[in-house]
Amino acid sequence: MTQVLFYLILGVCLWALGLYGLLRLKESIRRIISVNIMGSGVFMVMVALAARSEDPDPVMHALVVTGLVVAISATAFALRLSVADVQEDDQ
Amino acid sequence: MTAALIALLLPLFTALCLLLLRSRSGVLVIVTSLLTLLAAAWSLYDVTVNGPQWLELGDWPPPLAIRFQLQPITALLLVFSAMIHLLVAVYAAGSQHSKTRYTDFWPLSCLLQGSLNALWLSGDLFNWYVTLELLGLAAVALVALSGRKAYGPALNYLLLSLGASLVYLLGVALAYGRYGVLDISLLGAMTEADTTTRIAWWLMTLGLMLKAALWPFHLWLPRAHASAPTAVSALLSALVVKGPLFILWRLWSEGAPTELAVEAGPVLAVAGIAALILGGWSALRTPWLKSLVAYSTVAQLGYALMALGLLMYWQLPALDAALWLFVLAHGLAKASMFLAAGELQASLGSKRVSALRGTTETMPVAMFAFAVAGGSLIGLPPSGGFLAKWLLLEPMFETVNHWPWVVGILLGTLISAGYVFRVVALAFDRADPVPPDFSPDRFAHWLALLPALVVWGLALISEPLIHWLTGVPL
Amino acid sequence: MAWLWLLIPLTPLLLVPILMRWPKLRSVVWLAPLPALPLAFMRPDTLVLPGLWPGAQLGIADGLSAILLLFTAALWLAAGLCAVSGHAKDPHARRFWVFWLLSMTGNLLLILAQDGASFYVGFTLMSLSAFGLVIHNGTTESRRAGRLYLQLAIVGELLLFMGLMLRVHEADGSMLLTAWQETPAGLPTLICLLIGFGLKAGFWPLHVWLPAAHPAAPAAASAVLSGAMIKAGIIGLWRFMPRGSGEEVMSLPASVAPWLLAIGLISAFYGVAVGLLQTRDKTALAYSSVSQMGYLLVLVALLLSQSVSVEALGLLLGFYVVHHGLAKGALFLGAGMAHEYRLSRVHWVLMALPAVALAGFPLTTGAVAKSLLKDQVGNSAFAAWEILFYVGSMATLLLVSRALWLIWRSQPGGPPATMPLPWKLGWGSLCLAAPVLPWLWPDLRVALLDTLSLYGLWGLMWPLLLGAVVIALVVRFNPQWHLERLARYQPGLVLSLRLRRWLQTRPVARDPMLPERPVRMPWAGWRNLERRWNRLGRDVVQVSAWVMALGLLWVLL
Repeated sequence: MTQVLFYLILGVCLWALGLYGLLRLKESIRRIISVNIMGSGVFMVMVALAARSEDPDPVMHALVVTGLVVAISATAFALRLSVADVQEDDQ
Repeated sequence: MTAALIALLLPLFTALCLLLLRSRSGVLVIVTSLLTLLAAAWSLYDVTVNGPQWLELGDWPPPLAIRFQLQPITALLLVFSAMIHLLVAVYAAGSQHSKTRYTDFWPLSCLLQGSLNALWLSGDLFNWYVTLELLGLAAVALVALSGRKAYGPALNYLLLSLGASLVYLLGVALAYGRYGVLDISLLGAMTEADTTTRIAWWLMTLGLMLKAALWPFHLWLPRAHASAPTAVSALLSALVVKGPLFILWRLWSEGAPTELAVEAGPVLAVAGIAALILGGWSALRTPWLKSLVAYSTVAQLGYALMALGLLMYWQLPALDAALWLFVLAHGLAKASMFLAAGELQASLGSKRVSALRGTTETMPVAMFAFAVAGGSLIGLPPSGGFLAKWLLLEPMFETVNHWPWVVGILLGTLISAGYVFRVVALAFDRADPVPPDFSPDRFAHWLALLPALVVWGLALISEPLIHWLTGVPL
Repeated sequence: MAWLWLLIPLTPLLLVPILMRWPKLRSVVWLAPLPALPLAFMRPDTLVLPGLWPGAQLGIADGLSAILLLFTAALWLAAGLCAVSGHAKDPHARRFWVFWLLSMTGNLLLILAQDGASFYVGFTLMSLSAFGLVIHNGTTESRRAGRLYLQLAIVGELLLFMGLMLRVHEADGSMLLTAWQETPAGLPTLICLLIGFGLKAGFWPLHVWLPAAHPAAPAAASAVLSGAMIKAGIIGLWRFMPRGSGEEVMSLPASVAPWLLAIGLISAFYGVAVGLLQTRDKTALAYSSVSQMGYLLVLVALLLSQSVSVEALGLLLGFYVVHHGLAKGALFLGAGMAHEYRLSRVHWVLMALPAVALAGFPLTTGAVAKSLLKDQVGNSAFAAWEILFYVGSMATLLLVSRALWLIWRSQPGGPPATMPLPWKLGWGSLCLAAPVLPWLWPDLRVALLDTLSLYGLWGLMWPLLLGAVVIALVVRFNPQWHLERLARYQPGLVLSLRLRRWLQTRPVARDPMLPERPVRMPWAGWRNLERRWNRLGRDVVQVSAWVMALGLLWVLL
């Protein structure tokens, strides 16, 4: 149980760190990274929750996998958009 | 249920086709939208005759299953979104000033509609997360269509949308960790008012509020909606912000334990009043036409939030009808207003409100559409907006102690009258009208008038509609 | 057969698009009120239209409504006939006729209405469409009058709507006028209704628009404005006010009644006093309307005081409305005619008939109206005031003489010209109504014969003789008092103009030649605050994240 708790707290901390990044950082690339850190935090919480029982909860894993897919595609889109935005500033 | 599935799959399939065929033809989308509308209407008929239906994807038994639910309100929202989408598609294909012909608008808007329909049909927390993300991505891409100047607002929108999704997802994780189910109707029977549930529900609520641009999380909306192309602004304001609102409503009215809902209700209702007043104030002050309309979305969402908050606080299912009438009336009126505003500013060659001087003379139909839609936003009888406001006010008149809420609504109404009449008064100043730079497009003007007339027509079927909305069990 | 009632509002309404399409048809449009005449006699069953709104009913429930319908339609017909020749060469005739038809629809509809909502629809249609008639001439004067009219009409509409809603509430959701007449009314309701209808009826002190608007309109329009439309205010009060018996229903209205009597009497004499100062014929006639509306308000006061029977009062109201409507219509038409043609002797004889009828000369409709009014006041709780009604007859005689003299003075020179035939027909029939009508209408004939006793004749004649002496003295000595300046003081019009100027000059147009002076506005501090607030909200992501973090903290704590 302590291990689960450790990862839970770690995940929540990561999540809070990501939020803190969103609230303090100005550059768009850093903000994208912050959002990703938030995502990692949530996924860690979810995996930790899945590991509470003897045989891990497959539903949670499925959710995390789906979440990763969503997060990756969203990040790609955000990166492209931020690059376009920066290019505009340069011109 | 089949009809509803068709309404869900048809736009998704069309989006794929357009992408694969590298086609950007609007006609196909219009045809699809029409078919979707028919399918949605059929599902509405089906659900009124045969009652609510469930579809378990992949035939898994309930705790594991991802269930699609078709309920009367869902079917109504399917019809509503198909209607708006069809209208906007006709506008985007037909108007001279539409900047979205032969662009990526077509596949994206189909994707938007598909994900929105999936959202209406879904009934479990995680599925909503996925549909929200789809919706958000499609919406951001649509905003970015307007070119470089929109990239900044689009990026902000995307980042906040992602952040909000993750806040929501953390809540989902906590809820699942506590109860082990995701289906909202199963959750409703299990939830207890303990700390974990409270935190989980509030996390989800905050995330959804940010996505729905509910005050005080509205900051991203005016810039994103104002910088998007006209057709996109109409879609975003009329439809997209309603998705998270729907989830919020299901979450609290179905999934939450009563104590929690009663506790959270006043907070949401107060935020609603704040949205009404502050959003309205910004609309009153902004020099830009589209910002004005966008801020008015912020303000009008305040009504819906207030209806939701009071519904939770007083545990009055009767307010459901008020909430959904607000959503319908606001969606129709706002679509009309954005189309009219877009046409006006494209023809005038200026984005300022002050450029509207004398438009009743130069572009009477578009201005009329704006004014008629504005009338519904103010809540003038006998518009749909009036009906919704009336339903919201009704329980307040029953108890004397409820007067502060009435004052809030009154202030909100005054301010919305203020920003609508700000535009209308300017448009009637015919002494020195601003001449249009480009020839006005009459077809688009009449198209903009259409939903505004529909929203006033809602009053004609008000009685059956209200009965139907209050009578539906959920 | 009940559906026949629909003919009355629908005929003029359907004529509007027809007229838009075929403007040449305007010579037959005056016939639009024709269906009302046979229907007023046939009196089919009440038409119930539940599809329109709950309780929507059209029809005629009592004799008063039938009288009102018949004579309102007749007045519109006669005035319409005159308008055909008056607007034969008018380039904007189509506009005139459209507003004419719309206001006529409203006027007839409100008489037919058996429920509050239909009445309100008719009333509003009439009030707002009449604006088009008032400003038809397009002169500065008429636009000014129209503006004031519209401003007050809208205020009146809103108050009336509030009163209507309160009345519906008091009657537990019933819209029917008969139900309202049995329901007690609260003080706010009474005030809303009195001011709302009063602004249309134009009694003192709500008359400010009337002397400006009625003279500004074309002749035929002033005839219906003064003859038919202002009566809607009184009809409305009559229909909306409670009249049931019983302490709880009538205690409040009965306490209001003396106030109404006072207002009515002030109005009656104020109208004469200010009217005598006027130098223009139509304005003097308009003030005479203010004065006559005062008498009609007295009837409402009698109704509320409950000291006389409702049936007798209803009949008297019918007589009075018909008498004043036809006579005032004839006088306004005559005044309009005298501006264009030189009248012959026959015309003057005709013109004198409605004038003496207004003063209550024996053997005219006026004699019936005046003597019945005196009788009713004498029988009521207000009997002490009866003497004022005798003095009132004298005052009316003075005012109509003054108006006739002003009309005579305003004629163009030259030999008498021939008038167009439609005009002669319309105007002539209205003039002749004053002495002839009593012999055609049995109820009125009975009442007229009652006045022919020696006592009755003396009661009618002594104020008139006194008035004749005063007139003779004035003509003989011709005093030069120069009181016209008093008459020029019109606070309503002045306020209305001020409002317009204030609205128009608010965004001050800056002269580009002048150097821009920094003006520190009192709200500059607030503006700066708003700016700072806006700047704070510029970094959307950051601020939203802060809000989110604070929200989470709040939830956790």
